[in-house]
Amino acid sequence: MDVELIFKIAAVGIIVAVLCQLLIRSGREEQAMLTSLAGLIVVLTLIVSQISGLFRTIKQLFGF
Amino acid sequence: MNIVGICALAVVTVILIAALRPKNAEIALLLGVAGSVLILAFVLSQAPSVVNTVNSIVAAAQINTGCVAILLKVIGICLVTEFAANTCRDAGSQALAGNVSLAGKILVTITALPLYADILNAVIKLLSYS
Repeated sequence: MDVELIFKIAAVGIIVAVLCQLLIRSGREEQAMLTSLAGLIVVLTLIVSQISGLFRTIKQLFGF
Repeated sequence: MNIVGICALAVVTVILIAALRPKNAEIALLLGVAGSVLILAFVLSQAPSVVNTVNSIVAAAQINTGCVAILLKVIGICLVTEFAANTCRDAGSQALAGNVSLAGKILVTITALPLYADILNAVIKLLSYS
């Protein structure tokens, strides 16, 4: 069980939020949106493997 | 990790979510999903002993093992459905959560259909005795 995943996702979220604020303040809304999208994709790639592992465990355990 | 660890993980996750939500709602949602996946994965890693015990009891009592397989499959469907519905409810789309829950109920009924035939056969057998 890797609790670091939670902190990793939270760190990505905070960094993305700060970057978005900076970019919006300096008048680059498109780049801010792209940064937010990139952060979302990074977090999704972190999570998807965990979700698939969970579902594989459930399938094995309950004999789907 | 025990129940204390699980509770601590949930509290830390919810604090991080509350800190992150006003700035970055999507990643806060994904943080919640990650927390629930970690907790469920940990709990389910200890569940095989329960399944093995149930299987051994059923084998000792010489009950039809098909019933137990259906029972386990229904438990799995409920687990997955509840996970998806809770995630949808967390994201604020109640209609999707309700529909996933409904789909889970219907699939549970479909999975349990062979048991109805067993019950009817048992009733017919009892009636033929009298």
